[in-house]
Amino acid sequence: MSSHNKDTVSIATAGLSGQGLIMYTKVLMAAFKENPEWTIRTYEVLGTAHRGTLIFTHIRISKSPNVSFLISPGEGDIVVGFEPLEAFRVGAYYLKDGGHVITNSYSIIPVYASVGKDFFSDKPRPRGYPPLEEIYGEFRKMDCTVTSFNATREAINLGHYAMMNMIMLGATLATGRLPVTLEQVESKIAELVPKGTAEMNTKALHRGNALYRESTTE
Amino acid sequence: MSNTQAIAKKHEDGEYAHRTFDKYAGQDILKENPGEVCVLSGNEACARGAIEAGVSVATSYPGSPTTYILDSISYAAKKFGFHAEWSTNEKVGFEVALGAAMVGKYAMHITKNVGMSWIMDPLINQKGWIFHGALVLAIGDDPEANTTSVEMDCRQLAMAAEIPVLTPCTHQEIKDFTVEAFRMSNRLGHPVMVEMTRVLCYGRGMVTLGEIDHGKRKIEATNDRDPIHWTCNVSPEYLGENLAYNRHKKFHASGGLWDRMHEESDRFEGTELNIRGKQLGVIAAGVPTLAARHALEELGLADEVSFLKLGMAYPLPAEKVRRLLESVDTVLVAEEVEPVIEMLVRDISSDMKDHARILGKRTGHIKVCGSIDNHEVTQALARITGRTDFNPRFTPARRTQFEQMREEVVHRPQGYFCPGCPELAGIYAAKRVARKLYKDKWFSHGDIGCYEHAHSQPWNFMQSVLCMGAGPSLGGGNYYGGLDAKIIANLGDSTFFHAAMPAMVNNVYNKNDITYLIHDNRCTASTGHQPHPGAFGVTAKDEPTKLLSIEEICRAFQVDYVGVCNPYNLKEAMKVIEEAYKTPGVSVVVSRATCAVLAERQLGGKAKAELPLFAIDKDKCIFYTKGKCLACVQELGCPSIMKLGDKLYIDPVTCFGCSVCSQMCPAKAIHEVERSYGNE
Repeated sequence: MSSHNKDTVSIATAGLSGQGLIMYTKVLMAAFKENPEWTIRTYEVLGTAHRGTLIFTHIRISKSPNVSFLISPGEGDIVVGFEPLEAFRVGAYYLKDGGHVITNSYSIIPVYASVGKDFFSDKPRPRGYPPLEEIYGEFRKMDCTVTSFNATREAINLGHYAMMNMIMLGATLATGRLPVTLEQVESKIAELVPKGTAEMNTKALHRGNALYRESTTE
Repeated sequence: MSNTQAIAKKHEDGEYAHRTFDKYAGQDILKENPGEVCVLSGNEACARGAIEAGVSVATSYPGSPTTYILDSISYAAKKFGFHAEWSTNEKVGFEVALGAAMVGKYAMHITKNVGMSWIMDPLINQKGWIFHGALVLAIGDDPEANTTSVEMDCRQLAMAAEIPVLTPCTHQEIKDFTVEAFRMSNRLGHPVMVEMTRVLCYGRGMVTLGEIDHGKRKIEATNDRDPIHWTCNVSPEYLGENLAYNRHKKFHASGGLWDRMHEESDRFEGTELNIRGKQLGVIAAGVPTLAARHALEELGLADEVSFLKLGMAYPLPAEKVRRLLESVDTVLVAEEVEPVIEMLVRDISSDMKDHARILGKRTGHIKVCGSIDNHEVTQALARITGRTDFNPRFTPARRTQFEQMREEVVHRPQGYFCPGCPELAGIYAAKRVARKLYKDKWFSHGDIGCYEHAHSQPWNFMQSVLCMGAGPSLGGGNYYGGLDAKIIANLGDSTFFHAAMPAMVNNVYNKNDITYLIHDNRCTASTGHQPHPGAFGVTAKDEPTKLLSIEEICRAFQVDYVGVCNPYNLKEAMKVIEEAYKTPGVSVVVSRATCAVLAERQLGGKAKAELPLFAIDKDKCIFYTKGKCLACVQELGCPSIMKLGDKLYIDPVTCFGCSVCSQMCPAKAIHEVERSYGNE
């Protein structure tokens, strides 16, 4: 019915502000400057200065110049989770049946889970952080494949926990779904990341690429 | 002095409070390289458009989603030598820009949707002034109210002020339309609005740069002292010269601004009409334009459906609309929030004999609230054309699963206190004292800023959050309404300068009994650490200026008590707050410490290494020994303290080391430890 099915890749990323989702998008987009036959549009919900609040981005890559900004519910091809619960929250809404989830497995517990109450209600409402297996199980109900690894730990091993976003980018590229090469992305890192961190970021990109292959996809 | 107190002292002295001037400015917007393709966000594209057009004066007050436009422009202002400012509020900022346009300069005011309400007074009053320069209003609307307190539609306000509205739909158009807006405004001598939405502002796209017109900045200021141009005496019309009335009459007379605005719309290059099929037509503007085109391609209807893409939502190009209404049987209007275009289309159709059936929000084909994605338009088109082969990808089964998830899985707020937030510490102290003195007999007002998150759990310290500076005045009404409770108004430092000063004077003058808690984190924190009159002592262009003292201003307003405290030092803060609560009349507490995220940014990569890390001692913690307590999560609510099942721990990656939890822990079970990572 539609040319959009095969010629459009929709990626939703999800995580917490401060985890580097915006840099992920910036580096990926820059790599498309030399790919004018593809139109890339993004929409970013950003945390401005905040830390630890829910944010996500929509990335659309298409052969059609008319591709729209927002991913419709159930239309996403790939969900990239910087935090597993947020991957689930965004994935349950945007991911298509049979889509692909790549997620960091390092959990950050939302304050409402610790407090055991909701936004306004004073009544206790114990809703803890769901076990990761439960989250991945829900994805499998949607016929989605899940690739997960502890990217935060890997990033700390590489020198700084903030390198996690490049690990996730490297892993996304390893899916082979994006019409851009690892080298094209790598060449844009130096001009975009903070001074003095290019080498570490590049390493993280390659580590993520390898991690995707090492991790069991189920 | 312990490490913790040393950190608190540094915050108090403002040692971490320096502005990260170029944090949000991309270098691409400065490039003198026409034809180069750059990746720009919508905010950067708008800034680039203004720079290319030759803007000389740009003003704004920080507000999502448009904050980074002035952040970018101020960077260019420093380089190219023109004026950019963070004004104290939108009304002031708009008037500064208008003043520059009066003397012949290209000026711009940038604001979010709710800021547009603030500028309505000067904007409507200047209707019919024909200024010499150009004045562009860049507005960030927020369908779905993701980053704003309300879902409103600024096009309706533009209609009240009778100013043209340009509606770009791609990032290239944002840049091009902003340049064109300046030219159009200069031709008309009338303000022109560029309406963007959150999706465009925060989205990114490819933009081909144009040439920067530095010449416009060199225009000599004209000294036009004719009061007929810039004043408005009023009187009954029959008694003689009534400038206000005559100006409006001239506005609507033949060949006046009203007519010229319509001519501009008729020939605007960003508007395209393509008559293709005879059955169906689509009218769209802004973000829904691409959603509609995407939907048509999805349904394979792109070659059969006529399309009117509006570059200007107000006024409409009447001739083109008529042509479309004559050519097809049915027209679908796709737009966001209020059915503004739809009503104008219906208005145009009212004097036509035969015209297409008009569908849109009024007929229930497009939803009224929220963002419009391609699926929304696809559904509407499928319904109109009777297509049954279109299956929504979000199946009913999936929707059920999603609803279940929303119900069962714990939420994570989109706005929340960051770990180590000094405002969180101040709120905790203020609530603890309020409960001690008044039990449940207190009523606390919030305001717009980071601290507004205290309205939710676990604090519930704000019973109202309305708009900038509203708390103190609502409190005044509560007091005279006879509310038997201690009335508290929370404010931020930037909010104090923006809107609270008249309210404070009013409270003093009218003899209210109220306590102000001014949470001063030494910057406009929630939008990204912009400077204000009481922060940094620098302007938007990073030039040194006077640093205004909030407490000195309050003293000048003759309030009954002014106390200053450091919220990281809980004991001291609670003492000052208690004194303030107990003082009858208007009392003020300035709770001051640098925003934790700003402090971290100032310290750069070494941030966490320099700050202490705290951990819970399981042998002392009442939760671990007796299975209850949890005061650190349920009363303090620091997001770094996490409870997972029967585990209670401080997340070492996010802990800022502010030490507040160690001060409030009833068992003194939280201690400084050596920094390491990992939560297993």
